[in-house]
Amino acid sequence: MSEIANDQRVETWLIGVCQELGLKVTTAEDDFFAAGGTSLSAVKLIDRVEEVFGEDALPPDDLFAESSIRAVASVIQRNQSRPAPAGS
Amino acid sequence: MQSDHDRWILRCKQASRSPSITLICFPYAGGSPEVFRSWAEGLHDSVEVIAVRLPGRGPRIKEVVYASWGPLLTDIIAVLSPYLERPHALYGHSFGGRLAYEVAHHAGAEHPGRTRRLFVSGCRSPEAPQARPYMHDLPDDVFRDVLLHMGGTPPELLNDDRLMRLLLPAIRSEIRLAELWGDRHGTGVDVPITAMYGRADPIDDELSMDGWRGFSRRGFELIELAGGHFFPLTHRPQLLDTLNSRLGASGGPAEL
Repeated sequence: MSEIANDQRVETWLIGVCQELGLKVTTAEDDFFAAGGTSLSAVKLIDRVEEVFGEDALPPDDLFAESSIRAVASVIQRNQSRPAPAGS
Repeated sequence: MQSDHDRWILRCKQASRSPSITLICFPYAGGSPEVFRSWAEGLHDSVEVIAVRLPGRGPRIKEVVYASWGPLLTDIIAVLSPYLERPHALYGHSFGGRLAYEVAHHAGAEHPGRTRRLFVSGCRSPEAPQARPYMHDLPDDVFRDVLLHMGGTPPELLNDDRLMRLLLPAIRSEIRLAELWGDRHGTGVDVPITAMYGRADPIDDELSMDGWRGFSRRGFELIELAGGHFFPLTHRPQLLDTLNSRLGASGGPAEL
């Protein structure tokens, strides 16, 4: 699995989670907060990310600093202690 | 980099019928403007809804929060000024009610007649004393406990230490401004005021809101609605009904 493919897989997964949270996110360019993300949805997103990618995979500071799906995915790639979910 | 407008203003709903009126909404201390997005479907077609986003939350989490009223109002008014030139109404809850009143004062001086109505909910009148001991200088853990009992802040957030470290400065600074706030003008506004309180609100009850009648020279009503301090979150439809009926009457082109 190449790095790029892995990145895209995380992005796709993130888009799905954001949609479950009720946010209007459809592409990796979309921004978590511009799409309606709140502090509460941030907590929920971070919880989901940690469930899947391990503890501290998405530090809140990083999410708030740069919040496009692409940027969030690359933070997760950098910090993950478990591999990205297979499939999708 | 986002423009000042987009940092400060969340557009929640467009008007699809004219003449339109802009309802400018101010959240409670620490509150998100996203709350008002959910109002879009419940308000009349002629009502545009925008909400103010303060620093220290969401995309503005890294920005320095305000320690005093003067600079906060200067900056809010600068960004709202295109909206204040057109027919508008102001709505704020709790800390947001204080902001709405302060903006009404400014608009009355700079854009007379454009503010059709001021709605305040869960917000003591300017001269009413702060009913409870100050909470803004409590230690973090006690402060968080008080917030939990007040409602309004989701327990999932309050229980998340990392998030709370980021969010507490904004919540604390706004509660501080709310608690220290009083009558800054010595006179009221030339705008009708609709004041609303929750029947079971232990913080801002009928008594602490009745004083608003002395701050409008254009009419006043005090409305009791079901719910506690955060009744706008828990009992939204009755609040939207009240806003719709008042904006229907004041949103048109005719003089009040």
